[in-house]
Amino acid sequence: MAGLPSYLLPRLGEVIAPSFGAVDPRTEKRRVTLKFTRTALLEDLAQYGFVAADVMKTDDEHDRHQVYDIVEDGNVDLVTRMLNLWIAECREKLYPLTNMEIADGDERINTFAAPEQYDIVLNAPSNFSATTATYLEQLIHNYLIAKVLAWWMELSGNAPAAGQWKEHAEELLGKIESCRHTRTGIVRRRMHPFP
Amino acid sequence: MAKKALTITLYVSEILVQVKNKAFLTGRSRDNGNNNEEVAHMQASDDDEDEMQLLNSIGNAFATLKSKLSEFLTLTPTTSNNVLIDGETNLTLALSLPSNYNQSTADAITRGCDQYLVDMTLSEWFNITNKADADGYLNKASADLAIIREAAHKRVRPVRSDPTATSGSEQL
Repeated sequence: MAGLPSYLLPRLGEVIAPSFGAVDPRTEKRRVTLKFTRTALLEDLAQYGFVAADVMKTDDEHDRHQVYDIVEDGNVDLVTRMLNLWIAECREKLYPLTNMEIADGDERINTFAAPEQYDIVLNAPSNFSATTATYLEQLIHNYLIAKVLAWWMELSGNAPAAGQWKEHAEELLGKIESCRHTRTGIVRRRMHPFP
Repeated sequence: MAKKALTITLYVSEILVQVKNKAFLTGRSRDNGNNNEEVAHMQASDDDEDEMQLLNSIGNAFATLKSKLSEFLTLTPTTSNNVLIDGETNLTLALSLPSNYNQSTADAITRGCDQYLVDMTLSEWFNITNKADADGYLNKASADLAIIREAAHKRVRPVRSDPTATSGSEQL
């Protein structure tokens, strides 16, 4: 990895060569955490917003600035609300990997929250591939971006762009769902297909 | 995201000079040798009645400008009055702009505001003294507003604040 910027090294180290934790002998599962910092998501949204606004087919700067300002004050809270929602959706879509028992008396409240980081904790089978974990992280990050942009474009009256981002988000969601059942390991074929 | 503050100070004395100078030049260019009285009327003077009208127009234009820029103005007192502004006073606009506002347009906003006040004042002045030129300045004031609006909505490309602020996966 020589020659790479230093800030990339720990990230690549994490993703490409993860250190596998011990397999829980009772469940034969490993714990894998997908981390999404809100800052990384917002900064990507700002960059996509800039490009989208720059190429908008309008002469009205007011229409354009709503897209430029997607993560500015007054808008960022709405975006965060949506990120919270779609992170929860991703956890739900990965149900076989993310399910956890609910505690007696557990509560939820709808007050606004802006977490620094979103974690999706997977209880992955012992033969779950590290590359799948990386792929999932990338897919979810881009899914969140696409979902927010689709929603924001619709909100700001830019229907054609909204449609494109929505389509992209659906494509990514399909790929996320397909990762639920991806495994590594030896495929054993019976010598005799019929017993 | 931290807002960017932009404070614009407009000197009323400067606006008055520009208005009077333009009115003077307009009068001179409209002089055909037979309309001395009309020319004299369209050339705004320092006399009280002329200046009072001009200050009144500047005050009206400034109020409209604040309304047009209300999206960006920081909160102002909830009391207001219609007292004639003073020729020696300064008009201030405290704008609170998004963090991605492109500061290179600050001069465009300032000059646009200045010109808007001048053009609106001249429009009202010529509406009284020289109707033929009134609409031209009204249209110019609208163009000034469009320039201000465009400048206030210019944005800079976002930059990543922390290159390590990326998502990632971790196995525990």
